[in-house]
Amino acid sequence: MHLLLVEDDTLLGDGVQAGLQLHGFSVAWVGDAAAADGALGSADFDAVILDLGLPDEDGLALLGRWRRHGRLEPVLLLTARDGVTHRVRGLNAGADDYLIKPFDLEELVARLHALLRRAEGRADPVIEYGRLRFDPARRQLWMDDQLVTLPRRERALLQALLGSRGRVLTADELADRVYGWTDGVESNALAVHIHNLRRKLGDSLIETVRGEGYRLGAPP
Amino acid sequence: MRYHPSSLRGRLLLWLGVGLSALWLALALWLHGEVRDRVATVLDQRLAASARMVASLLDADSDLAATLSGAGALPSGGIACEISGLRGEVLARSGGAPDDALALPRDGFGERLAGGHRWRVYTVTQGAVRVTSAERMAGRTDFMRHVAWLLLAALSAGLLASLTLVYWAVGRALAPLSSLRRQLAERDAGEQRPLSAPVGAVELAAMVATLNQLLSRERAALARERQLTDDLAHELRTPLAAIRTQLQVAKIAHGERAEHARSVAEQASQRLGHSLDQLLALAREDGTLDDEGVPLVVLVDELLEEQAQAIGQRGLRVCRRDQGAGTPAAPTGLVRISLRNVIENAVRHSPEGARLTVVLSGSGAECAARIEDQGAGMSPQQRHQALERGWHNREGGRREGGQGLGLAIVATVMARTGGTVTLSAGAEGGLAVNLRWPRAGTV
Repeated sequence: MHLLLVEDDTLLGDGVQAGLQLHGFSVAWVGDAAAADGALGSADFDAVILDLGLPDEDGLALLGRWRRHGRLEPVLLLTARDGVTHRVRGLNAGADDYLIKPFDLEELVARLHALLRRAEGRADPVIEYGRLRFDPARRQLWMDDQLVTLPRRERALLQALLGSRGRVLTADELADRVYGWTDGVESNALAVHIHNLRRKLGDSLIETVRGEGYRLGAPP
Repeated sequence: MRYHPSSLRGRLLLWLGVGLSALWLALALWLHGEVRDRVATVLDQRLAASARMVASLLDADSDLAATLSGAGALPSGGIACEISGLRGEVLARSGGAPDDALALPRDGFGERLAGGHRWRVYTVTQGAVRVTSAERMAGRTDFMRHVAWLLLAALSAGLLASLTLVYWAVGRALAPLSSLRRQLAERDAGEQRPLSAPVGAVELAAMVATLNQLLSRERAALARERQLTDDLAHELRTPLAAIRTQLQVAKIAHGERAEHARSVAEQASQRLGHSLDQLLALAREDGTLDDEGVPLVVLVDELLEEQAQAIGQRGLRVCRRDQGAGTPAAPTGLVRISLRNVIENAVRHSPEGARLTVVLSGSGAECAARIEDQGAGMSPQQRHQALERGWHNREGGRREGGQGLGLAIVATVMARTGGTVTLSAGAEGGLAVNLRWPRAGTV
């Protein structure tokens, strides 16, 4: 899952990025509103974590602008302001969830999973696809009640495809979701991961759309 | 003891009531006197007319005396008549007349005591006889008492009606005040809308305008406090969030990554500690002007002494010049907090072996301190933001830890001491912080 983290504080941003990566997210981290605008314009994100106290623009103003321009990414606000009026104002400005500093990493992860589940239109936290059952929060995959262990990147790739609901994903989009921005990507790494997934879960699971990218295939 | 009504309405009612009562009483007294005099005149005229009529009849009918004495008792309060000789012997008297002689020794009005009653008498001489008409005084007194009672009743009713009217009118006239009171009572804290002057009360307009000014000052103060609270929450909770997140990362990560997380958590805890120290220093100062003030140069030297260790470690050269700054007219504790924050920041931002310049100057009603370092400085936009929201030195859009509340506190404290803080570019790169206070002895 590909997240955009907008946080100006280096100490906190570093921790949130590392923590979310350890929980299987790919995280792009920017430090101000201008960079966040640029990031949203150049890549697809499954969700945005937005700090309200940004150096160049108020986080709420930025969020309001995104919503007015039709951006639909789920947004979770991070803020030190805990008054009811602040929370209400945040949600009214278009936020989907709200977390007050200091927060628990586990809670942030759980809320992000809930946000993504809602964004994908699922009520059940577990994604079922044919004989496959995938629990993003626990990072567990079953094939017919048999637990399948996948490396982090392959799991992220599978989750991106399961969440795409049949849409074709370009190699770049998949790379964003799997690697984020900070990890170096080798040109054939994505192909290797897809090859591994097909080997473990069946060839038909991932279709190659020539010249475009990849798509979720028939359920195994 | 003097009575002071607690309400405007009570005060108005009291004074209008006292005034109206006095007025009504004076009117009643005058009316009573006037009526008494008029009634006495009219009754006297009736008495005289009766006597003259009897006298003129005596001329025509010499037997009248006999007729008169056989007339029997007159009704009580009526007029009695007596005919007497010039030497005082009573020739005839009407019924109701006393046995004692009534006639006065000479013609005209007079009063006599006869038969145990006081009489008002009128005597007229007609030839060889005197005709005297008389009336009991008791009748007149009764009549006047009756008139007095009527007046008193009318006065009381009139006074009561006037006071009721006044009560009602005062209520109506004070309605704009009540409406203003309701407006104030229904107001929520922090409401933006100004008070409107009640209709029909030009006199209140000035007061409402003053109230609105006061309210807007209150709102501005409240907004500043809120902004400070928000900044404080941000400054305290962000490093706390960083500590917690990094420690959780350290728990689930291994090797270098875990080590990095622990080290960042430590940095964050240092920043939190620094912010807390500054807050506690601020909390210890209550901002009262309780002393004579301390000359700026003495304060600065004390603070440079405090920082001597840090200055020595960095090998900084301190250049302190006093150009007659004098003493700030502000609480010493607050001046010290501003100066300490600025000097600490300057020391921390100075590269090794750099020069730190502190220039103290005074001109007219103002004294100033300029603290200049040779550090990385700030862009004009950063300088603006640093004072706008009290945040400090973000490089590349990200905050490099360490400054925390510094300038936020300086800006708040300077506003509280009636001073100002401005940032400018230093002469040799770096940042120059200019602090200005009103000068003692000139305000």
